[in-house]
Amino acid sequence: MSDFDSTFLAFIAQRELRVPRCAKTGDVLSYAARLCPDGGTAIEWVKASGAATLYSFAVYRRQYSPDFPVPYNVALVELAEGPRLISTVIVDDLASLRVDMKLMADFDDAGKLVFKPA
Amino acid sequence: MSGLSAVTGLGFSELSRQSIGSIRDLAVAAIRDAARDAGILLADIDGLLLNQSTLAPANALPLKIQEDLGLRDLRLLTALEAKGSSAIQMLQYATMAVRSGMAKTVACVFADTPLSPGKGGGQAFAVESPVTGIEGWEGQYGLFGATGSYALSARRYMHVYNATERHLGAVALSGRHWAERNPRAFLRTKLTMADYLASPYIVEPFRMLDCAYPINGAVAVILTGSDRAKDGPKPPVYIHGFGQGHLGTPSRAGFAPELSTGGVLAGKGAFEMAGIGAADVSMCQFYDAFSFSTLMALEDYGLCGPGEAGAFVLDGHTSPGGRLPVNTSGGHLSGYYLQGMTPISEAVIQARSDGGERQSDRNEIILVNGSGGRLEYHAALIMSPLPMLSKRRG
Repeated sequence: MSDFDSTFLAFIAQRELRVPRCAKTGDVLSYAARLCPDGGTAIEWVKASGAATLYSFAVYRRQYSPDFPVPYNVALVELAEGPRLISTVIVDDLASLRVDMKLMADFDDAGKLVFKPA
Repeated sequence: MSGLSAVTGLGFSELSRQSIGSIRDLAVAAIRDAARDAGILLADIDGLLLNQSTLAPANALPLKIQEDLGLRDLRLLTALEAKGSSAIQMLQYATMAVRSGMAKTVACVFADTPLSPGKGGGQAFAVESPVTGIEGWEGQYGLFGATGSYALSARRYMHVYNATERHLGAVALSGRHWAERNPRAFLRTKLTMADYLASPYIVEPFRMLDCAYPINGAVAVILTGSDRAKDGPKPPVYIHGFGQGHLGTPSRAGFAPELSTGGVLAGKGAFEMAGIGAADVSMCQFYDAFSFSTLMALEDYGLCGPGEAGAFVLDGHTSPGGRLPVNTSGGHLSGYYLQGMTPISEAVIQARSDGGERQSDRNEIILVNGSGGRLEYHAALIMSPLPMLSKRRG
């Protein structure tokens, strides 16, 4: 695993959501990037506010694994800082999910990053 | 502009939902069939390009297949990996090889056996899809399969353009109408919109009918220079243009990879090389692993404006009798899912006027595409039964 991945995951393990940013220019990168736009490698990790919107979501209705009993949602969340990442939205009613709804980051009891309607 | 190369042979292994042999064995069968179809001996093949599914075990289709076929003195031999764009890419590199003179007669093959006892279609493709970019991240959330990652893209597209599930269903129905006329198609029973809407979701908004129908099998083509194409027993199918597009779109605010993909760039390359424009395309064979993929392809290749593909399909224009036949084999959804070889094989059949009950007279300029990953990797070809395409509007 690259340092980029392990750094992000280490923050998550401490219940911190951080976003990668070019130290030189301040440009926020996506989680899939590994270099700054100018090819530089100096990346710093900045605490995210937790504010986000629901860029898209999918609801699994057919069981793929016993660890994930259906129905459940997988969310593609856009952080206020810019980067998008996969997570899930904690809602009682899946029918309440709406693209572009406002969300706030949280961590569940197991330390997994989740989002709740804001 | 005359054809850059020509497909002179098309071969199939047996296609089945049951176990019928290894990927390697099926590939050999398809190449033998393609050589027979081209009227050549296996010994005449001096180039070999191989592609297996990313999800198949590593080395399921090894270079050693050269020896299975008894091929000596190959001047081109490699395995390609470009996900769903691979098969189209094989034909592109084969074209470059024959045009450069590095090889004369190139066989390109894809083989897959996703189904085996105890491993059904859903499980075959139920691997976590990397979307975020952090290793292993999606494992915590159960984002299994391309079905899930494509569902995310489809939902975003549908939200932005007010598209509905009826638009997805229209694609499934269009393919099924063509499959009804294809003896090689696996799903041929009549389907109505009511049937589609009543069927259960797999990953909302996708139903089973929105997803490719996996089968075990292999397809191979033989490709030569266009000057040699008329030597064979079958009408040659000329390649007039080709292109690729891999945008590397960042997953962050300000970018919308769900609305416009590398198909635009692949199409630009293919159209410019062929000296045509989107308005000249008479038929499309699209990589439709999902119904949504067809909507994206119609827009990315300029056959429809942004957000308009759903209505276009719902109006019947891509179905039998429509003005732009699409996926006349039934495609991946109702025909057979052999990744990039599904659209290529049908383009060849239609260009040769071999389509029987499903033959369309709009086979003059066929756009054939491949796409893979989460609509990240794209390649396209322009194929035609005509050796020359007269200069057309751009």
